[in-house]
Formats: sequence, structure tokens, C-alpha cells
Amino acid sequence: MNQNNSNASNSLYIFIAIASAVLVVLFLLLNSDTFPSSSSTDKSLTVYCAHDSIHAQQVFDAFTKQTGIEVVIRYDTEATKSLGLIEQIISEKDNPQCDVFWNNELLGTLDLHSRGAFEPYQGTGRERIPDAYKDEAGHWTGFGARMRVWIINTEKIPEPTQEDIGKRLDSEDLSQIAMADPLYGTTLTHYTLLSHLWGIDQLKTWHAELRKKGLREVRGNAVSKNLVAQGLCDLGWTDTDDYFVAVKEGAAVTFMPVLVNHEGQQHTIAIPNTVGIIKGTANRATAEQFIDFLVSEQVELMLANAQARQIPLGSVDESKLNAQVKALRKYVPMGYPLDKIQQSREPVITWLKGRASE
Amino acid sequence: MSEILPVLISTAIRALLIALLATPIALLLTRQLRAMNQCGLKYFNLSLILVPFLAPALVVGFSWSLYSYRLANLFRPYTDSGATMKLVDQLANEFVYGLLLIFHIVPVAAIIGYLLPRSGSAPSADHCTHLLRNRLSLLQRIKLNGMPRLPHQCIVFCTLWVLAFIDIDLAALMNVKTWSLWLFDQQVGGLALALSIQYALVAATPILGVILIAVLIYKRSTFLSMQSNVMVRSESKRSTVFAVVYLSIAILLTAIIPLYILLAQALNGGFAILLDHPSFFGELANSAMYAFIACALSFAASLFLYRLQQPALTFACLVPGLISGLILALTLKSLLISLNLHSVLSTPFPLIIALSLLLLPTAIIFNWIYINNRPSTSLHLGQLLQSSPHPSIQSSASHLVRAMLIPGRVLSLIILFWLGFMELSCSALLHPAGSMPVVARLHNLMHYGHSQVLSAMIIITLAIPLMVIAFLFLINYLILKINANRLNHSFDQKNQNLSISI
Repeated sequence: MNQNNSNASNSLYIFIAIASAVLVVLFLLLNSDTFPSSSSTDKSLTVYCAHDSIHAQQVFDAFTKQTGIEVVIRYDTEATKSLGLIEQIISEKDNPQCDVFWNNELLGTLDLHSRGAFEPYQGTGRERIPDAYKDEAGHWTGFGARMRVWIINTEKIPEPTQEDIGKRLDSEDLSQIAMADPLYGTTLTHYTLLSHLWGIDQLKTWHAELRKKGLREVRGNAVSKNLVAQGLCDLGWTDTDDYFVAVKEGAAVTFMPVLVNHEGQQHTIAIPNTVGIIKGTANRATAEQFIDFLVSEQVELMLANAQARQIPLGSVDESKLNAQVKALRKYVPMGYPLDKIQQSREPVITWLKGRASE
Repeated sequence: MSEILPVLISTAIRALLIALLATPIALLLTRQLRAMNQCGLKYFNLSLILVPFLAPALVVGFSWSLYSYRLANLFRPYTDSGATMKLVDQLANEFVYGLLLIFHIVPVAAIIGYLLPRSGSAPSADHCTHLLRNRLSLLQRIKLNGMPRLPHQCIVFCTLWVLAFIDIDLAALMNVKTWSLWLFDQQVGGLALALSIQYALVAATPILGVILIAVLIYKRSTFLSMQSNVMVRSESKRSTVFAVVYLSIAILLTAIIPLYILLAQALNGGFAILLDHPSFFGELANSAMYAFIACALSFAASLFLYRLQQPALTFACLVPGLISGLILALTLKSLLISLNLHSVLSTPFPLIIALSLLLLPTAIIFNWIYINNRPSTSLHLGQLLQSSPHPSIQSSASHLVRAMLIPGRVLSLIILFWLGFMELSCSALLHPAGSMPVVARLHNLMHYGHSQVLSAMIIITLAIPLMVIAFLFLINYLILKINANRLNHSFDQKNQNLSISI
């Protein structure tokens, strides 16, 4: 009797075991490019990409179509934040697993550069990128930027000006203003710039003052955008790509660039994508091809006309540019040179990581 | 190490409050489960109770993340300053988070409570106490009724505390400061993995401590025999109504409303845009593969551990799955990097191993449910009949035995597959390049807020495994039906032959 019971159960287990084995084999066949191969080929490339796949995939597809080179991509995830690619590259320094790093901001790239993670490359593609957005020796190159902006609900503030925003920030109740956690992404870059300009003590005081007055600190720029778009806040800090998502959704919003003052001049905060060849890559030639492709006019136009509306840094055929991005181009020359602020990054991160729950 | 203490303490206090609120609800559902058991609808009702747990925390948190601000804004006219509004914001956020977390974890505790033998006095003794209630003081009633039930209630409480303490998915989406989120934040700008593991082990200490307390209570308390579970006093109508209302609200808020919101957005052009992103379907396939292999491995391991009957070994195998996916993934990653096995991280094996370990406690629990709910008398009769010399009776009996044994196993596999498919932390940290699981992708996209295409992705991510599950149920039903018809037909034939010969 127990034998028959066992037989019925054993049949199920055997079925599961065989099915698992078949699936494992299928899986291995379908994902053979996820396994490291002992011999590198010039027809493949491994890219660590912090830019989201929704926007980046079309670029990779276009590259593969043009060159025939297959790209194995590891995307960063919001869930991992900087547990992701930057830390992974650092930990793999002695045994690099990727060829190229495509970052969607600058400071992390500068951090990697300071640790000697990149090989220099002075390709032809980067010649069109302004000097302010590339490393002189060619360790990294910027392209396709986002800008820090105020997103404003026009039903709450119909015709906003920079003065209106200044008055709002000075008021006693800031609970109608949203900002992303400054420990991450472009908000971290923003805070690092402020620390660079004001000094960290003034930044801490300003930060504490805003929180004391009830400023809503949320998990990310998208949440800040959502709060404003849905009328739960009047205005908030975000980036241009999040702003344009709200516009596409039909929200009653407008934007104003975030401006910082330095030596009597006003500057915007334009944060470029950046790319560099990982030191020790086994696919140098294909990596160079990919870099040249990524910083080309073709890709900058692709990113500009995609949902993310990234602002081209180099010269492009303006007739191929959509009107929204065209209107943003005038702010790029006003961008503060962010490669100068790298020294301020570490103290800001240390402070933000150590602050008590607010 | 002391940097983690403030947030550990605040998380522990939050978990304590949530566990205190959730314990009576879990116990009520446990009693309902026992009452439902007698009606023979156990698997269906078990599935209903499990819906809020199975609803992915990712989807629930994503759907409700802004509602705490809506709630807070209701009180804006009554606040006089930004500082007060900030407090209102925090309280509203904690309230919404606490409510969603309670819905999410109560089903697990209810099932644990159901699996445990009853503690307390025998139903007959309960009845005597009930008859004498007017002659007993409050203290005497507590001593006679309340104290004996305490061990069972304590174990349920400990379960809820652990589940509330280790949550990260909901906390991340609701922006609630927990130790797990704090640990995540510490990675920014680089934190040595070894130090991360040390922090993680500090956090794991109270988890293991509470689990140990629960085990000790179980070992040292007197429980009624399992047979006494049959003699359950019928539940009052009021408690049944409360349970039904609670379950309805929980399912509405965790499953129906989020699905409705997502479907409305997805139908607004989301599905059409999705066709331009074929890589998404590859990610779906990857997730399904990982989930299936991990589910099969954990299922097999649970059976193996049950046959070994070694409690210490079973407990040791459970620990990795109980300390949260984040700690497990960090530990595994740290181990591989410290052993200079970077290339292994480029393979699916770390993720599959982590998922299998994470699913193992659930697999063991479902094995217990399965074993404790087999209709032992009917099963024994069926097994006796399988030894019959008559082939037709043998095959009928085999069919009956299969019908009693297989559905429970299939349900366990389905739930394990679902949990593996929806797992986030290990998937995000351990997936190999070029093979990202779909849940990690979705969580990444949620950073950009609600959009039609994201809603479409979520709907398809939820729908595909549900369709596979429904297909499996259908196959199972058809096979059993065809078998039954064939046996009936052959039985009729034999009856006819018998009549003719007579």
C-alpha cells in the first residue's frame, strides 16, 4: 500500500526531475551568451549599462544591425542602486567581466576613473562633444544629457517664475514641495554641486531647514514628478526625462530649469550620459567601435527623439530634433562643469548615509 | 556596527506593533481554516486566504505608494505649519504601509497557526469553563482559558514579527526606513561587501533570536493531540462575518484594485507599445526558467528533508530562507567575490541556488500542510484496494489515490513557482548579464512612475504564470476526468458481462 503511494509520488518526482533537466538544457542553449567563454571574439561585446533598457535597447539594436556585433548587456536596476554596476566594476577590477560601461550620470564615472577603471581612447566620435563633457585623455566621454528642473503644477501656480520658486522655498510651510532622496542619482549630483559651491556645512543647514519646514522627501524623481502631476504637491525637483513623461501623460505641468549662482553667473545642471572602456578588456577593437557609435550624432538624435528626451551635447541636424528638446538646447552651454565637483562627492555621501531618520 | 542600531530598533518596534495588531486577525483566520477544513473546501479557501500574500508586494506597493500623501493631504486644513504636516505625512505613510504589510503577512501566520497543534485546554474543558463563566472571576477565566492558549498565540506572534521585520519590497516602494533599506543605502559610494555582511548578520541576530524563541516555546509547551483539531467548537457568526469582511477588504486592496488600475492604464495603449520591446518577453522566459528550476529544487529538498526526519538539519537548511532575500543575496555574492569566482556570477547558478534556498521554508510548510491534510482514512482504504487481485479494482483504486495525492502537490508547486517568479532582491542582485529576470526590470521601470507600457508589462507578467497555472489545472482536471470515464466505462462493461453470465 505504501509502495503504491510511493509509486504515485515517485512518478511525479521523476517527471519533475526530467522536466527540470530538459528546461535547464533549453535554458543553457537559449542563454549561452551569459556564460563566460574562454576565447573572446571580435563579434561580441559585454556592456554594463546604467541607462534604462526601455531607452537603451534601441541603441544596442541599431549598433548590432550596423556592425553585426552582438552585445551582451547587464542593466543596472533601481532595486540595486549602487549595489549595481559601479560597485560591480570596482569588485571586478582585477578580473574584468565587461568591456564598456555606459553610465547615465557623471559622478559615478568620475569615481571609477579615479580608481583607474578605464582605458583611454581618443576616437573620432568624441571630437564633436564639447570639452566640458569629456575627459581630456579620453578615459570617458559624455553625450545625451538630462537637466535638473523644477516641475510645477500649472493648476496651482499658473505662470511660474524663478522668483515665485524662490519665495516658495523661503516660506514656512514647504509640505507642497517634493524632492527625491539626495543619496541617489541626479539628486546626489545636485547636492554634490551645492556642496561644492556652498561648502558642506551650509548645505547641511539648508537641508535641515527644508526638512524642518516639512519638505516632502520621496524615493525618486519619478515620485516627485507624480506628486506634482497629480496635484498632491505644487512643485518639485526632478529631471527633464521625468518631466516629459508627465507631459506625455497629459498632466498640467510646466518646468523651470534649476539654476545655481557662481561668481555672478547663473548655471544650469546638465548631467550627461557617460561611457568608457573598461581597463583590461579583451575586446578593445569592438569596444572602440561601440564608443564611437554611442557618442555619434545618430545616437544623440535617437536619444533626443525617444521618450527620455535627452539633450544632445554635440552638434546635430536641428531639423531632425523634436521641438521640446530643441527648446532645451540653449541651457546646455550654461551647464556648470560637473567634472570639477568630484572631490565633494565623498563627504556628501558620507554625511547622507550617516544622517538619522528624519 | 553601532550605526545600524537606531534603524534596527525602529524597525523592531514597528514590527512589534504590526505583529500585535495582526495576531488576533491571524488567529481568527486560523480558527476559520480549521472550521473550513471540516467542510471539505480546504484548498479553495486556503487559496483565498493566500491571495493577499501572493499578490506581489511590488505591484501592491507601486499601486498604493502615493495614497499615503493623499491621506495626509486630507489633514492639511487642520495643520498649522510645515513641521506638523511633516508629522502627518510620516504617520499617514506608516499607516498605509502597516495596513498593506498586515494584509501581506497575516495569511502566512494563519497557516502556521493552522499547522500547529492546538494549545490550550480540550474543547470539553472549554465548554465546562463556558458553563461556569458566571461563577469565575476574570483572573480565573484568563488562567483557565487564556494562559493555556498562550504558546500557540506566541508562535503566531513571532511569525508575524519576523515577517514584518524582514520586509523590504513594500518598504522600498513606500519609502519607509527599515534596516534592510538602510543597508541598501549604505552601498552608495561603495561599502565593502564584507562590512555589508557584518551589518546583515547584526540584523539577522534578532530574526534568528525570535525564531529560536518560537522553537523553544513549541518544544516546551504542551499541545493537544492533532485529533483534537477535529473537535473544534463551531465559530460564532460574528467572527465568521469578521473574517469574511477582512478577507474581502484584503483581497480588494491588495489584488483587485491594483489590477484594475494597471489594466485600465495598460488598455490605454500600453499593450501596443509593448510589442516594440521584444526583449521583455525574453526576460519573462528567463524568470519562468529560474522560478521553475528553483521551485523543483526546493520541492525536492523539502521531500528529502522530510524523509530524513532530522529536525536540526531541517532547521539549518531553513535559516538561509528565513533571513530575507537581501541578506542571502549579499552573502552569496560576497562569498563568490571573496573566493575570486567572478565568472560564476556571470552564470545563472547563484540566482537559482539563492531562489531555491529562499523557497525552501515555504516548500517545507506546504509539505506539512499536504501531509496533515491527506484524507488518511480514505487514503488508507484506497491503498488497501490497490492490493486487490482484481485489475479493475486496482486501477480504480490507483485513480482514487492519485486524485487524493496529486492536487495537493500540484498546488504546492504552483505556489512555489509563483513566489520564485515574483522574487525581487535575489533576482536583482544575482542575475547574470544579459539574462535579467522580469521582476527586476519592472522594479527598475517603476522608478519612472506609472505609465501605460509599464502597466502592460505588469499585467502580462502576472497573466503569463496565471495562464500556465490555469492550463496545468485544466490538464490535471481533464486527465482525471478521462481516467474516471474510462474506468466507469470498463466497470460498466464488466458489470454487463457479469449480468449475462448470471
